[in-house]
Amino acid sequence: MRFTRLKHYFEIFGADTRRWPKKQHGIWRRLAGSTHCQAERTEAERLDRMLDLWQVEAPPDRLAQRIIHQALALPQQPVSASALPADIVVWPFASYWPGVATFGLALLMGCLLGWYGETNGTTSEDWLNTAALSPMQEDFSDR
Amino acid sequence: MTSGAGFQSRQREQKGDAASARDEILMSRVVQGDHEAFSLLVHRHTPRMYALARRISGLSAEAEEILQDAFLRVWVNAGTWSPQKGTFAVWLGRIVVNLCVDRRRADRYEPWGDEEPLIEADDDLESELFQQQQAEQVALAIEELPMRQRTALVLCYYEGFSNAEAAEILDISVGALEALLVRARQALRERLAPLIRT
Repeated sequence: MRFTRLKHYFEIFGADTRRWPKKQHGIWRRLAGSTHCQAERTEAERLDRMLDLWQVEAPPDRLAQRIIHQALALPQQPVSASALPADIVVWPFASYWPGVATFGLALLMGCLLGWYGETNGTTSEDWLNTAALSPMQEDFSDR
Repeated sequence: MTSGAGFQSRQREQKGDAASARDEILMSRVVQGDHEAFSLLVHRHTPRMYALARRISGLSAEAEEILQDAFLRVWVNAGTWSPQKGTFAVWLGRIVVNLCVDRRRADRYEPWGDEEPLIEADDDLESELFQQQQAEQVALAIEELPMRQRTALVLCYYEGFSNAEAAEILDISVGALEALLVRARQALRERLAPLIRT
């Protein structure tokens, strides 16, 4: 399992173990030198040699000065809430609060409607009570 | 084994975490409008970020413009930065990579002047010429890679970002980054096979 991972590291990062992840670096370095992965290491070294041929020139000397000169002439944007000092309390999970508030409001409205409907429901049901319609029944009944 | 200039400078930086800590302190001063802190950051990160932009964009003039644009954004939008967003180098790297990608999406940039040679002439002209040709083929092979593969390779191999940092810059998982690197190296191995065999 470890050697499979080792071979995979050669494919990902190349032969130079300094480019490999820092976690358990010593173990990987020792294993990389073993004979178990000779073919993978040789292959990776060949490709690394090719990649190292591609060097780029250093930046022009004037570049940094030009950048500084141009940038400092511009005004800065005001400081956002994320850059506030630590002693200012910012609500955690700020993006969730509008959703929570909306849900709470909807729940409250639902409860109120339910309660209102229930209290008024009795009267409406009373209105529909057939017993209450009995006097009217006489008007429509066949005599 | 020789390595990219960015990778070597990164190795020197990693001898202590003090350098990255100083970046964050400097950046907190930049937020307050400190000119000196900004100058220090520009001088410190220009070589590495220039190499990053140069390798992704492929042209020195374009790399200069990208770097200039990136640092202008850092200065103007310094207030939006916070240490929770990761190290300053990763934040700046993300700005540079995004600018490179944006420029790639737009029409191909045409430089006004001739490009500078990749490697300066040496005493042994024939050997130097051969090496230069090989370097150009390598650069061409890398340029032909898909954008994400090329960016992943430049970040990790040439500029010495860790896989976690590179994944953060590209806004992908570490596993996805490793897959990009494997595919990039496989493609390069195939394209450069004639050179590798010689």
